[in-house]
Amino acid sequence: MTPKPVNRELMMEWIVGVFMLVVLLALAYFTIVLGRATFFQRQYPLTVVFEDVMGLRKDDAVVVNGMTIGKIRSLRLQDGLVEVTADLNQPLQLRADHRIVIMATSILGGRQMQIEVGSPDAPLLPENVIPRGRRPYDLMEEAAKVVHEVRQALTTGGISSNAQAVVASLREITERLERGEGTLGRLLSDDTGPYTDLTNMVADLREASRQIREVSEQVARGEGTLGRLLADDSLYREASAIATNLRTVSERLAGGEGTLGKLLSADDSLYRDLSEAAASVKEIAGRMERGEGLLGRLSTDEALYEEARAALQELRAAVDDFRETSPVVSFTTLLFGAF
Amino acid sequence: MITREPRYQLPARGPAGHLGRHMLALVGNSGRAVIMLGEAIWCLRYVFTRRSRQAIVTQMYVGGIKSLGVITVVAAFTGMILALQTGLEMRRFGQEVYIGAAVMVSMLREMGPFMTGLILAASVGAAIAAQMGTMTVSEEIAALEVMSINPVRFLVMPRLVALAVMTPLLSFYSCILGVIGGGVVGLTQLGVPWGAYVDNATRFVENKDLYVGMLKAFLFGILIVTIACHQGFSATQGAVGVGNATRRTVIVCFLSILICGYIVTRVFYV
Repeated sequence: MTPKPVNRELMMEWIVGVFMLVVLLALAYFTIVLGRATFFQRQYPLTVVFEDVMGLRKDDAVVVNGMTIGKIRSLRLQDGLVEVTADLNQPLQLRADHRIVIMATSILGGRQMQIEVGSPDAPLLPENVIPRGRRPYDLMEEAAKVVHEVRQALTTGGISSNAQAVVASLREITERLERGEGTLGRLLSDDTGPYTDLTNMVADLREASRQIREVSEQVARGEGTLGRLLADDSLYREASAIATNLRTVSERLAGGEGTLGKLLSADDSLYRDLSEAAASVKEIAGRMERGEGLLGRLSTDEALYEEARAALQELRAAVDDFRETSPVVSFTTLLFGAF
Repeated sequence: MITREPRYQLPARGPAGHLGRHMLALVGNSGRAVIMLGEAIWCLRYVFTRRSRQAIVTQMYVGGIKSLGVITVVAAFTGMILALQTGLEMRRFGQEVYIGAAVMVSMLREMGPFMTGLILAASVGAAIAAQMGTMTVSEEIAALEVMSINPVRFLVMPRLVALAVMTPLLSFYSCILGVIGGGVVGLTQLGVPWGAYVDNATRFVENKDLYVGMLKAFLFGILIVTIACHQGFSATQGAVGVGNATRRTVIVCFLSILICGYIVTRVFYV
């Protein structure tokens, strides 16, 4: 069974119809996308009053914390202010320290309304209060203002007069230099005196630097006291040992060890002993000065001293004789002792 | 009456005479074309008759669906070229991500309707002029009038409706393809992610751009049909006259599309 021939006209109608339907559906979708329509989402209106909206337009974005949450519905000029109404996708609770400003979206153009709801500890903005937006930061306006200020400063702000004064000062300085006045002028104009002094000074400096370099090289080689001090670490070790000893001594002193420690300690028995001993010595010395006792007489009586001296000499002579004769006596004693 | 007796005129004298003769012919032809267009619009009251519906669908198929292939290629490569040229320049400033906006705005506002209009003028307009011209020189138009069949209602109105409907749709179709082609170039050649491309493409255009572009295409369709039918009906001198009518149709259509595009842009964007 052969299929029925396709009706060409019907086929054309189908093709045209399908094409139109597809394109119209795409057109409808595109229209919705470009219109940024939100048919099924609840909208929360927000009205803000600005002095200047800097070219903000209908359907521009409303941004909170960098997130787009709505778009501008309308702008209306009223009482010298611009009343901007925005449709938000979610409600906002503005605080008393909120901040609403219009920003440029890019350097290529475009504007958006940027909202900062405020700090959490600030009180809520009453619902019947219409928030007021801040004046937008216009880069071109700021640049124009800076240019105007610079121009004003150049013309009437004193920069010009200051520059003239600086130029006059420089001219005076150069004239003085040309006349050879002052140290720098003399240096520039006089080729003998200052130049010679400067040359000598440079030579002295060069010699001093050479000597310093030699000394530093000697020190680096470990020569001399300073070099050895830097190169040899025995001194350090000795100093360390001394410090150790001093610490030991100080510890012993602190601990009341030894004579000095006992002297420094809270126990004053040694001090009392020494005091008593000193008193005794003092008394003995007084007695000796007064010529009391043997030592006093010896120190005061010259005759006694001479007699004692003679007696000692005789005693020394007797001992010498005995020493000389003692080997003979001993030998004789041994010899005759055997019998 | 479409057909008329030929008018015999004395030869023009000098350049001024030729210029004046051409100016008069231009004004006269424009007037005849506008009158024919008005008559076709008047015939729109028959648009829902069975015969007219069938003729309109046929013309929509011939003029629109059969042009899809060339429009697809031209639109896709137009978007790709736009994206590449714009993207290469914007890459120097690190702004190549914005090629989506550039391609979308260009295609919707100007390039889509313009390219569609040119393609239809060169293909469909030339075909209409050739067909009408052949019918005119073979006195088929005169025969229709003898039989009390209005050639405007029978031939012009279905083509007018068909292109008036199909040109905006084809323009939108070419815009979509151009944007897709630009996105492919952005993704493969410029490293622009598809999401960022689409986001920027839809961020900087409005419905106004879309529908003003479609209005342009609508006007282009009307212009093409009007010029092509008028040139065809004005054909004389056999095959040579048909050829001249076809050539003039393409030239006049191109110029008219350019001028009309500028006027619409001037009206809606300035």
